[in-house]
Amino acid sequence: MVYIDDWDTFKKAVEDLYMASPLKTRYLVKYRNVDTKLVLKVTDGPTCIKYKTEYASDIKKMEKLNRSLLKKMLNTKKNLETKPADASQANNTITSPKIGKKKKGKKNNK
Amino acid sequence: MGLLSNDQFLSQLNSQFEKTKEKGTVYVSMKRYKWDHKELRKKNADPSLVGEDEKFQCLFRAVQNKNKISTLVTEDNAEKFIDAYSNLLALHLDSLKKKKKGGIKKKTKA
Repeated sequence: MVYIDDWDTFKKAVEDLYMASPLKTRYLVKYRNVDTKLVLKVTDGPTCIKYKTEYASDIKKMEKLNRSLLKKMLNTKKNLETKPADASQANNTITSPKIGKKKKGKKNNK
Repeated sequence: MGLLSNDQFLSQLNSQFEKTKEKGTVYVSMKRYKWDHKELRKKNADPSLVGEDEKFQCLFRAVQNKNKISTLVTEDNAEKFIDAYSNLLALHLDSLKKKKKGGIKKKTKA
């Protein structure tokens, strides 16, 4: 099994593999809570690349990869990126949480 | 077992993750669904047959201890589905370790 250690290398390899055979490439995620292990596998039949991790920091990276792969598989032009301020964008209301500046410094109340 | 709606799939996937807290594995896989495209079904289908604007669905499968579920995601559902799916992952992949190495902020006082 071809395990890749570096995330960026893995990500690039996945994208190249998908570009090479978009019809056959499939992406598999295996999660074991018991062993705290997460394994990602991407294969198009003959070629297979894997990435394993135990760390929570990789979840975000994996999620980004999920989105980009889904977009490619659907062959869609829609942007599937995470939008943290989704609600405020849609309503166009000014609800920005950090308007007031709260200083934790000394207050001169005299 | 079988093909579910996106929401049913997500809720069943949620329960699959909960069942594997103590032991077991959850496998989630995704690939392009080309069954509707007659030409592409063939084993040696040429990727160049895919039109530039041709849209596909994405097949998501999840397996947990012989409990198999699957769903199809279309371009319209994609954004909603992937957001819900990412939330699910963030919720359940919580037993992964936090990286301790590379802590630049903390300075050890010798």
